[in-house]
Amino acid sequence: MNAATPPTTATLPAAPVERSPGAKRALKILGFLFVTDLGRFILKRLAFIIPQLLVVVIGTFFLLRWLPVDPTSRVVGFVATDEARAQARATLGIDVSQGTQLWRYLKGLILHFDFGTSWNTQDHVWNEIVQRFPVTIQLTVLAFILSLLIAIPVGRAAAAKPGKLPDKITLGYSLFAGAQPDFWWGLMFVYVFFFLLKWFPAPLGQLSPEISSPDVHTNFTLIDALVAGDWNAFGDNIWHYGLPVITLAFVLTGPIIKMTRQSVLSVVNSDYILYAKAAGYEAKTIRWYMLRNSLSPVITLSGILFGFMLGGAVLIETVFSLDGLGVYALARTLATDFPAIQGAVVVMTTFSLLIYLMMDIVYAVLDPRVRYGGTR
Amino acid sequence: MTEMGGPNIAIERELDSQASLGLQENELVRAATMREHFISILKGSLLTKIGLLFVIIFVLLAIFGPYITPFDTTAATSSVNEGPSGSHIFGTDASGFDIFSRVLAAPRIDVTIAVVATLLSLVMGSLIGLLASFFRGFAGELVMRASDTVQAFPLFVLAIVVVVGFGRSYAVIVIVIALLNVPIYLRLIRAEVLSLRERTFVEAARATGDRGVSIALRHVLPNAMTPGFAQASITFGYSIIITAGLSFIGAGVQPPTPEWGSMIAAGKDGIIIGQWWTSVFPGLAMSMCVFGFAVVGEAVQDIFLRRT
Repeated sequence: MNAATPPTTATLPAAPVERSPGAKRALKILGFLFVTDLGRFILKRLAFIIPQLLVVVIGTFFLLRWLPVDPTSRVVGFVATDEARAQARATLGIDVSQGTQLWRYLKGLILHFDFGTSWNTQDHVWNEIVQRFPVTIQLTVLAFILSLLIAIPVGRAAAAKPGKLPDKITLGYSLFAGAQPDFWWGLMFVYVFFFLLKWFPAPLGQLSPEISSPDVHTNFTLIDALVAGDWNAFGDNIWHYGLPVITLAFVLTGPIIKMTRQSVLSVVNSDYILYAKAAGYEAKTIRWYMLRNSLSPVITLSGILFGFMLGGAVLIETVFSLDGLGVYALARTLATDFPAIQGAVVVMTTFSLLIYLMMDIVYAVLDPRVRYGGTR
Repeated sequence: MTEMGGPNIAIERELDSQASLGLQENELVRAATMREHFISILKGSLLTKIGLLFVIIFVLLAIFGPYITPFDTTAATSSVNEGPSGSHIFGTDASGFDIFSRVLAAPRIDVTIAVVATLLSLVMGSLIGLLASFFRGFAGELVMRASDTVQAFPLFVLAIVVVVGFGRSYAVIVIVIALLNVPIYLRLIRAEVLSLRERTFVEAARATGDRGVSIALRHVLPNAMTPGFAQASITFGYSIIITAGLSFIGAGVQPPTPEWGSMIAAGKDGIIIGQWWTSVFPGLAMSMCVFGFAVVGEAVQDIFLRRT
């Protein structure tokens, strides 16, 4: 800085800057992200997602290529001439080095959002995934909503009178249900609620055969039916999701009830609640503190459970013949369809990471300690 | 397929950590012997006793099951798809196999895979967790971030991919299940080590001239293992569910080997037309086994939490 130069800008009267409403909003968001603790926390977490995604893509890529399978044998059979095999390798795009293959894949993915072409069906992998992932999401999200709606009130009720009979029954249930094979319980529910009682439809897909499916907008049958105003299909779809959702919720409520109960108990007996009471805070305020602090561990657990649920959805999809992403990944694994497997794994992982991110943000909103450099 | 033990125990420990601060150090460090643990499990509730009984039954079946079956487990009998009767008390499946015999023989596969996988993940997770916590800084951080990323993967799908890719052998199933569980132990042991390494007895060991690795292995690790053991019983049930789950969808142990998951799958289509016995009995056995281990795991965890 040259001290001799007169400061030019400072001497001018500050002109009022006219900003468009859009720019104001953008500035507000930027201000929130960079200035507030919560905003910085979200930025930090977002910065983590990109390298994580890259690791996921590259990791899956090399995992698949490391397997001792020969993808060409699906195309030309196990007994084939060397020329035929080389031809097949060229068709599948694996005639070049793995580095080149990865480079091509990443370029397609990042520049064109292209997950490649299935080796099995020659369709775009992304198109295939878009048709199936909504089934899996609808299944798991409905199961989670049902589980949380049941588990949180039950867990809080159990914590109200610890050690009493209802509490013991609840604990026994959560211990039992938390470690059960959901696919077997699914079959048991099918036997009782479909075969014996006829309360639910046969475990064969999303809609009854006589119901025509609504026009596809989102691939979420429930939402598509809603958009079309087709209440018949909407009801039928809910009816078909009934048993799989109940099966998942049966297993999921176990750990969530247990966590809620434990967390409520530890909050109720905490010194800060005692202090708040002694200091004469309003009952309403104290209740809010209790709720806020007791929900944090439940949210963390739910996020982790959701990731596991997504991976394990293939079992329930198999039992109820739902054509979801889990079943897709399984079928394509058996068919050595690398681009399809890769696409399915990457999409599921991305979704899990986004759920974790969301849970972390909710967590940070609820618990200020997280924002100040605390780790999870 | 859900994983309850991992996240649970970590958060529970967090919740209980405040309570533990006031306790005496020597009380914390006192190593409870196996016998003490066993006796306090026996003194537990009725539920715990039932759980322990189940565990003992299924461990015995894993050892002796295949020798006490009334029928050959992989040879068809003359009756096919018949409901429970006097000669076949659990009925027969579509291949004519006696279901009772196969339910008795299956723990040899399921329980053995789960036990070996659990031990393997306990050992690997503990060692990596120990390393990640003792050598602080970038390397430790890197291991933890890697373990985070692994947990975001749809692990069951990865298990399918790897097991199918490597040809569905028992060894591959064991290793894959062990690897799936490593992050849980890593996290658990690391958290424990981080709190232990600041304690007086580690300082004392350092003062007597003990070096880093020796302190880590001889003083810190044995004390940090307790939550790992509590988790092992829970992981065990989870490992059985994964083993059976893989077989259920055809990506694990293949029929006609007697294994609960593939036996349940064999009855899947029969369920809708009312042939319940093929799936019900293997699942019931598995459900009891997994429940037993969950209850015992819970009891061990209680002891551990009370102790710290």
